[in-house]
Amino acid sequence: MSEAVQRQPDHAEAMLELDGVSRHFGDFVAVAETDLQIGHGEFLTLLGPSGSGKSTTLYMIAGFDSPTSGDIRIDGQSVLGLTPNRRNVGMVFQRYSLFPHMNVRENVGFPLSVRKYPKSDINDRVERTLKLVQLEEFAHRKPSELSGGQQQRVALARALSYEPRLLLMDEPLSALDRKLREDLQQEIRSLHDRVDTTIVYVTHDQEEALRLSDRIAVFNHGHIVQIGSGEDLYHRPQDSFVASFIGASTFIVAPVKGLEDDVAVLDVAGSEHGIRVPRPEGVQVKDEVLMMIRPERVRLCACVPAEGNNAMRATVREAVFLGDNVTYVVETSGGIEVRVKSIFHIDSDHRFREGTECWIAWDVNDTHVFRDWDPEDIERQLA
Amino acid sequence: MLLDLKAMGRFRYALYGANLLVGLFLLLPIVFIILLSFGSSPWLAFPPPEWTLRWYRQLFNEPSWFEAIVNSFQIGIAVTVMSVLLGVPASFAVVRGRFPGRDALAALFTTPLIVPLIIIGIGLYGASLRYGLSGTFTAFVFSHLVLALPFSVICTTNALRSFDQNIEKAAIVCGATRSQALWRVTLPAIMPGIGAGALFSFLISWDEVVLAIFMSSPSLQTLPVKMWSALRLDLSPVIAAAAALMVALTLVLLLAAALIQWFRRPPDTSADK
Amino acid sequence: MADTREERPGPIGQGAARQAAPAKADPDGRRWRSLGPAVPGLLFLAIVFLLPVFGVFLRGVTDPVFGLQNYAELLGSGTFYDILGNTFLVAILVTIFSILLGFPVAWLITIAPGRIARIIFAVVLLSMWTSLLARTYAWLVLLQNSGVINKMLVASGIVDQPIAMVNNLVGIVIGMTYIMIPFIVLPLQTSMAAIDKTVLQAASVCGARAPVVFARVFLPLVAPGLTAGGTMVFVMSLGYYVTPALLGSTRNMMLAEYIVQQVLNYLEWGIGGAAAVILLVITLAIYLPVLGFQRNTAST
Repeated sequence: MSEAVQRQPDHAEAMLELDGVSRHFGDFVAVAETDLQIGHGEFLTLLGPSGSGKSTTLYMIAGFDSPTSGDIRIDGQSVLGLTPNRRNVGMVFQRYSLFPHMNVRENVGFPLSVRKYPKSDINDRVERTLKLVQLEEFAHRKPSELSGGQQQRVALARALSYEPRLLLMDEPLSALDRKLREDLQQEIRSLHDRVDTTIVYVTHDQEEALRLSDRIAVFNHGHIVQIGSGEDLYHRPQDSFVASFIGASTFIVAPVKGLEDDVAVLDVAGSEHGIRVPRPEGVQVKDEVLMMIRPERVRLCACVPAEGNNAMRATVREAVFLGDNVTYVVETSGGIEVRVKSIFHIDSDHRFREGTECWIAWDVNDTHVFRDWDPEDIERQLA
Repeated sequence: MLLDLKAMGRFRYALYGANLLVGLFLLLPIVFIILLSFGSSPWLAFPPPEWTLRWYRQLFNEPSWFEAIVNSFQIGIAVTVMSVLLGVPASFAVVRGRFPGRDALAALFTTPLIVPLIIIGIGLYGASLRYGLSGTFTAFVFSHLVLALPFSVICTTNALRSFDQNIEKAAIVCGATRSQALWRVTLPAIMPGIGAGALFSFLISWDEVVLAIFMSSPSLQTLPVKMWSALRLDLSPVIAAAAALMVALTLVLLLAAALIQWFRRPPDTSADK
Repeated sequence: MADTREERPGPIGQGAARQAAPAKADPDGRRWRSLGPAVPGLLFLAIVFLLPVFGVFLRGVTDPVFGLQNYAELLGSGTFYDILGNTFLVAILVTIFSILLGFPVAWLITIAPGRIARIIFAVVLLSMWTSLLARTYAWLVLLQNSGVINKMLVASGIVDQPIAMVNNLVGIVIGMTYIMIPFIVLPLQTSMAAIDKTVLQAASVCGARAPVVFARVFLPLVAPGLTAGGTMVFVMSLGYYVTPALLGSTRNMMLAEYIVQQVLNYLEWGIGGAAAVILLVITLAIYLPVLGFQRNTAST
């Protein structure tokens, strides 16, 4: 996982503000009342599964859809009354949507000619933008003569040629194959560093979100469930949905059997003393909670682990070598399946075989606890 | 925005309005004719003082009119049959043939649609004079067939092109002979295309007036020809009745075709996922 | 295309050469046989279509004597140029009006919800397949001086006297536009339906107002359908007979009527034939470049 650089908004006032924005279709709530502030030069991703409201939100920012309530402000001014062509934003669509009857140069120059820039100016800017996306040699080609990746770069160039204050991207890489996607993600990142535009990016791919963004807004069923940097979301998920959507997790549902100062003890089958977790607010004995532990936080030990950690006996059921790590599925003595990711150290020889008996252990504070959850969240991780 | 009705704003109403006007423009004459044919005024006064069926009675009782109707029907059916008999095999050659000049053949079959009708008319007229075929049933059928055949070929080739030939091969693997596969698998599958070609062939023959003018004689006239010559004399409402009859036939045939299509549509399989 | 295979030694190396495989039985014959089913149709067209039409052209240069005198006569005749001029004028007017009227119809069919679109489409289709003669007759009656339209115009005070709308250019243009509208709507609608909506959205985001998007993106993208329909209408109008004959007068005689008159009334097969050739040449001169151009431009 790449370390996303934490970028604070440069100016006190936000570049893009959503204030109580919602979108209803009759009874159906596509986007619930949402507040969002995006700073100048920030790269914010709207992340979520299909139908979660992220694309709807993006299209409202672009102006193709009007919110049922709330205001959208760019640079402090409400844009609600403005049609898309007057909002001065750039947009890259999922299927590139280049003008098929124009060549690359004409596509990229279109927004400039629409704004009545002088011809020499247009040529200069087109050249510069094409250089930015490394497509200078293809200027005379038509979209049908370009590959998917090239077309997407032209779409990018077209969106950037007029230096819009805001760049919107609607799952631009989802139509490309994996290797190409990774290459273009890299390009988008470096482009963002060079050009310093504010970017709002929509995707359902959490890895992509982590790679590209300064901050991520996670959408589920029309709500923003959590906003934060990739690290925030990964290490401090506030919601079981976020925990399950980003990264891998092992979920265990268990009742509380005891409470101490800042620790709750959960009754988990196979653990004699119970599993100790950070104590969530307002929880009572006998309440059921959902606990989550990341696979890379669990250690496999051949012998009893030290005191102070959570520990359980287990048997290795599956061991898969994945190059830079070995991923195990172990079954605790209580019958619970736990995933363990063991980053491979050159000097460690501890490769547990299937069928081996062992102990699993993890730090109490690495456990996440949720009082509410959706069965779907658990399903998602089992799939 | 341009392709989104809801995003268009008030321009939408301009579009609706234009369509309403053009739609009325298209429908009005047709409706008008039908109404006129039931009107009692021999001078085509509109609205008519009374409603009557007398023009229709004249249409069916007067020998020259009645015969013209019968002739049109008979010729139309003959044209349809021959159009299918010649066109369907030709389509197979066009779609599956492997001879050089296959594209030229396909183009050739559509040539009658490009050459101005009037030229075909006088050509056929000259030929029929030379071979003494003027005014014969055969001459009519052949001349209409020239126009109908391209439609039969076009419709059938379209259907044949979208037919997955692997289905035919599957039938053969199951043990059918080539001929059995053709008759029991392929032809039924392209029947909608053949049907469309047949439908158009009939309609073309039924309505055809230019060639018919050249082909007809006092003894053999089609309905359009009779209308045409009657029109040269005066505008009697009988012509309106004949026109209404022609419209009615088109309507009936198109409706029948639409109904057949509607009944043949694939069952809703969304339930089984 | 020799089918012989190379001789190879057998696996034990005894030099057991493979027999040259026999060439596929009569490959060219197989290919030509696939032409077979088309032969009856082909023969029919050759005899009943190609020959007679060719015969017409032949008459143009052989009647009354061999030579190009018919062409000379036609091309030197002022009347003929009047007729040609008339014909082109009508064709141009009809094409323009049918495009103007057909464009909104094609547009609405493309974007309206299913039911409405189907209704409009059905109206267009019905209009197209209803008897030409019946429809022309309807206009003949409607446009009379004593007809419904004139009656309404006079009664509502828009005009003092009935307008002459038949037996003149107006009648011809109205009647033929009416016939031709469906021929614009169908190909145009196909082109419009093929446009990706997001391309238009992209143009909008790039800053273009609706009229600009229309002119610079929408129109170019429907150009193929528009050209196909427009060409077809123009060419059809050039050679049209029935409607102009009924709704026009001898003053506006068009080429087709002229040819019929020469042949049927004056038995001037030579002149008629020559005029027919001129008509065909003009037709092909317009069709072929357009067809060729459309084939060359890569379809998206």
